[in-house]
Amino acid sequence: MGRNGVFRQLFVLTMRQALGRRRAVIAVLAGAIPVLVAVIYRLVSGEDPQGWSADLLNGIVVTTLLPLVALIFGTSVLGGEIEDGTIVYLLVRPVPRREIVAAKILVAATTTTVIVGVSAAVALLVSLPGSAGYGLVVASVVGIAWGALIYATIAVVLSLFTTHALIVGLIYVYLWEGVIAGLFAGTRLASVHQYVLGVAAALDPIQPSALPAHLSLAGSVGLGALVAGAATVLAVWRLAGFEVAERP
Amino acid sequence: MSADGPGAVSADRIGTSGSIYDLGYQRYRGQRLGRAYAFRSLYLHGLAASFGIGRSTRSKVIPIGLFAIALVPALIELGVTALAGEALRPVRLDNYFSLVGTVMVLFGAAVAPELGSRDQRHHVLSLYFSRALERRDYAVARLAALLTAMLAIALIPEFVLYLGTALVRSDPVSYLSNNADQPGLILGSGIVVALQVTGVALAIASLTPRRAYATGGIVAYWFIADGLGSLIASITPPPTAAASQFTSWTHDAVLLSPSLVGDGAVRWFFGTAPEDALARADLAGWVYVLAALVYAAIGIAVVLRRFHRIAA
Repeated sequence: MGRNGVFRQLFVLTMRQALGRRRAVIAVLAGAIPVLVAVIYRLVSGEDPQGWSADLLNGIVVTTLLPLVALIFGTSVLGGEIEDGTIVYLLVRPVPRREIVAAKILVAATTTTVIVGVSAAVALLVSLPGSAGYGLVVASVVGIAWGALIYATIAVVLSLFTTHALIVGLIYVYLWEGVIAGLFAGTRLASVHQYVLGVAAALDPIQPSALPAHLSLAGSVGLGALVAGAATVLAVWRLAGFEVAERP
Repeated sequence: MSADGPGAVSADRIGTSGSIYDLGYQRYRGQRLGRAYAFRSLYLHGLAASFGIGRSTRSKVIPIGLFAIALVPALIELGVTALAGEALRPVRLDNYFSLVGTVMVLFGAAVAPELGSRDQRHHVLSLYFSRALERRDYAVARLAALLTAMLAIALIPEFVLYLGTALVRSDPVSYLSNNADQPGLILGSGIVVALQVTGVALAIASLTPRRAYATGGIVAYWFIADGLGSLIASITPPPTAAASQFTSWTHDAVLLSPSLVGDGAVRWFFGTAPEDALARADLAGWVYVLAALVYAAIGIAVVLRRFHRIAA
């Protein structure tokens, strides 16, 4: 089997692990909630669709759903194998560690993008009348994909350093991005939430965008790439020196 | 045990020379401390485990770190008041929960799985239930342990703020006597919000043996419900020609948001006016207290039922 074959196998296997359990069902149910809210909005009010849709995107999709789904998948793709001890069978194979890390990150990012992206797209198509929303739909899905990749990378590297990766990631999301970034404007430079909004707002055809973005497109892409790149390198380094211990 | 049990060896297989050795097994002859003692031990152990006491340093970092973070707003407020006087009061007793509610939820997400999921994961519930302890005792001890830990986070920072504010004054005694009602209000509001977070967190944790699912579930429920409640509450129907409508059933959706329910309940205790979404909803303050207690009661019922039924 060639190099690409191994990578594909790893990708497919991890995908099956990620989606095979109840987790996927729950994630899809969570993704249905923004759509439900959008339906209520259209039935009851329908006023100021641009502003309200931005609130929907920023209030529930980007601040809660995206980091939550990305962290749950990201900490479990590799962390689950560490917890169950099956990582051993992966590490004794002649597969470069960087390919393992890349496949795991890719699965977490893809799954998150599909679940959250579809949720956001359907919700926005409901809340924005006619064809007015298509531009924002594309912009937000691209932003979500970018954020899913960064969050997933952070989650994978956390799961290699601590068994409490999920709660550490959630503390970052809800305390740092949620509370601190609201008080200290400068910390927004180090907020994945802002990278997502920066990308989505820059691609929004209606300018100025109703999304509360504080970073430019270049800043969001550059800083996000820096974070994701550094986290990937750290994850590969950590996995290269990973101690395979016999589990009791 | 019968002679044919798995550990027994029948006499004719060993032959006639076999003999039974006295391995010195003994019955426990000490005093049996009983159900109440077992309950107390489980409660104290759960409380210690909540803060990682008796566990590795790595297990202490998150709960004790979160407790320290909950203290930060009070300390900042006291520092500012001491240095710059009382012109600004951004951190008050009545809005403390809206500042540290997130910390309480994250504490619940970190700790409730240790109390509610871990024993299921390691299949040790049968060991507890085979002792004097009853299933309901186990559930109540776990709930009480998490509630106590949660009360520490809810109450200690507020009492630090209250007593600290008195000490900043030149005349602390008159401040305390003028504000003698405050300790009762801190206690009442703290108990309500701690009950709410505890009930929700332990209910979700008790439903799964996996810590990661429990943590994810608690945070997912809390913050998705927050987003759902706030967003629905932000929808206002256009005013009709007949009568300008300022209120709508959608505004009452604040009751779906656990954070807004807690915030509304605390404000009712301190008698301060609600803001933003709570002001639009225009519900009586006691409704929030009732809603918080209903959430707590549902959570407690789920925990009791789960440990009553679980196979162990």
